[in-house]
Amino acid sequence: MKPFVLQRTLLALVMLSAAGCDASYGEFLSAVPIEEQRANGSQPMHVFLGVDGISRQAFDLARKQGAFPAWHAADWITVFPAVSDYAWTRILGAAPMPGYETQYYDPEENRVHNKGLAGVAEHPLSQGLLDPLDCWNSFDYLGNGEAWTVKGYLDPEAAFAPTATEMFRVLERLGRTQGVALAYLMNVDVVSHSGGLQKAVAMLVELDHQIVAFQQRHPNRFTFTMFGDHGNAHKQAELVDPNELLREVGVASVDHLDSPATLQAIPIVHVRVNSVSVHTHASMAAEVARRSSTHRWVDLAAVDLGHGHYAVYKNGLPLSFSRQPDGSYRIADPAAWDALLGTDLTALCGALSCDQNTLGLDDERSFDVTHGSRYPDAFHRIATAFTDGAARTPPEVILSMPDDVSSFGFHLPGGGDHAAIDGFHGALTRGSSVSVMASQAHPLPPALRAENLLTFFPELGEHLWQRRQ
Amino acid sequence: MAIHSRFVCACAAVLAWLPLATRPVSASEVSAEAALRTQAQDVGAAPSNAALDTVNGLYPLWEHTGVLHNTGTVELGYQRAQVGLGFVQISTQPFLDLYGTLNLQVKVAVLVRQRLKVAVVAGVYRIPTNAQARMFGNLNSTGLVNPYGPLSVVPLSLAKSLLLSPRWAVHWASTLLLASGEGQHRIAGGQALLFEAIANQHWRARIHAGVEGLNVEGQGHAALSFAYRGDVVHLEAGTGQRITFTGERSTFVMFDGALVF
Repeated sequence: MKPFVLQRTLLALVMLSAAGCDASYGEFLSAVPIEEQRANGSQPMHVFLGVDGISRQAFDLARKQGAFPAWHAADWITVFPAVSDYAWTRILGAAPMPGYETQYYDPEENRVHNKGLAGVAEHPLSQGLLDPLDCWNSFDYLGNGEAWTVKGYLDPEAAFAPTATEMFRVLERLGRTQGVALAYLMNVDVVSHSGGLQKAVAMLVELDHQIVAFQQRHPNRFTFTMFGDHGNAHKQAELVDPNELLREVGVASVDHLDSPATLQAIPIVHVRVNSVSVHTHASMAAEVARRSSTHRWVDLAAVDLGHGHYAVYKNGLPLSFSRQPDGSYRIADPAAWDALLGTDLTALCGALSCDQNTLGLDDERSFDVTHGSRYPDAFHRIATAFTDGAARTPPEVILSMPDDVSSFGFHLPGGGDHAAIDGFHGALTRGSSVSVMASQAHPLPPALRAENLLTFFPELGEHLWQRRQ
Repeated sequence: MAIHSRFVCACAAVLAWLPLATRPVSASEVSAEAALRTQAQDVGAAPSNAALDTVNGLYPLWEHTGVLHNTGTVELGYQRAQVGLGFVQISTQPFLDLYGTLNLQVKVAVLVRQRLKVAVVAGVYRIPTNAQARMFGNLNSTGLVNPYGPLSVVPLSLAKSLLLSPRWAVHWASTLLLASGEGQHRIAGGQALLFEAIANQHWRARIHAGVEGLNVEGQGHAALSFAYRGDVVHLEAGTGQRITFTGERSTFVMFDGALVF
């Protein structure tokens, strides 16, 4: 056995042993009775339920089947790239992560960490046991038992009932002492990948039944608000290799960067999503984006041009905008953007200042006019993908793929490469980007930015602040 | 619900303490019984020679037996490190100590017969502030949150063990549990039953059942486990369901492994 494999195997055994200790410790703590400290009739506990990968489309179809009848709902415009670790980090205001994924490029060491299947295997170890990302530590309930993630991936439907049952038990206990809780459900995302839209809808209907039953067991004690981290295109996708994509457009796909004069790039291909972050020399970023955007597997290529300037390439042609220090945007050639987004920015030129065919938009108006577009909230999401501190080393280029194309990510032995292809997320497109915010607590506007969660629900922000002390 | 829980708790307490009406046990009786059990084990006891020899329960906090280790016997394991000192036994739970929950238990034999044993078990557990955050990973949830101060848990149990037949034994623990923390005190009651089906000297199948947390957070549990008792190795593992009086259910696992010297 190779030393590396032996080392990982031993590490896994040690960690599983530690997890075994956690099980006994958890059972001991569960056996300690908790006094009811919140008298019946006091303010109900507000449960925030983070449902991974819940799409607006699946939610609306569940409603057509009678689920969530009295809930208020809003389009929930998630971050770009719409991938879980990064999205939860930004939505929950958690501590930064190295990149968008467990696999990331370290520019100081000039190498990629957590590559391939070993990197995938690292995921549950490092994020479940060794050094969980802060975003996962933010949840009061994440799952239960050493194998909950494995069970959830292998058979999300079978794992749903025990996971939800345990969640309600923990919520009932937490409700004895605190007024706010944040819980997590992974299964909807997995079943959307591996089973398709109808199975996701069925799971949401079942979730509604369980919430109703829980609330009937505890009348007037629990109010629920539910939201996701990303949407899902709910389309079967062709799985492609981003390394091949780069090679076909004349960009050398490498695992470390050499001379800045060389047209080369490092694609991050850790998980199956329909966006790919690409690291390259800053001087080559625009050319890598331009060339990539001509490939049939790429819908848009977003590039950070530096100093607050950004470009989006579509079929080799650029559209540009800039973000000012006050958060407002200056949109060059609004008519071209209208053609891409399906908006009517040009009409705004009459009402707002349009200087040399450049439209100025404050951040709020930018959201208002683009959240319903083909690429929701595109200006804000593209700019902040490169600038938000949630990822310490963002790439220079992000490729956004069509809804029916997804990166292989990792290769699985046997027929694994052709499993779980029923729907993806990550891209700028509407399907990938629009999740749902649904609440029993109070009415909601038609659309909300996911990263404004803690502003919209300050009690959750206070709860997370206390939890992180 | 609260009145009902208190009534159940009070009745259970009265029933539980009835065996104390019998005369106290002497040290010589403990030694004689221990010798009998040792002799039975030495000859490779078949069920017909079965003796009460299950020293510990498996369900945390609430499950105990009336059986003590022989004088000088030491058990070192995952769930317990304990030593028998005649009619007294002292132990701690090492895995809890690892998490900073310092703990000590003392078991005193009250009545020792060949088929019936009764013991009093007292313990103290000091659960540190923000106890859940001490887990190695984030794969388990308990719902216990104590961010502002430590908790002290003091269970006091009367444990009865009865050998019903060469193949069946039952252990019944009646517990009052005082929990203090963050300026509050609460007393909860519980009853735990452990039925043992004795296959042979080494193998047991067990059924666990009980209600606990009465008067504070009432819940019931039911579980199944298997145990192996070798000359020096003791292993046991099982799983079960817990359900609160308000209808919330959960599954749990239990396991232990120890060397007995």
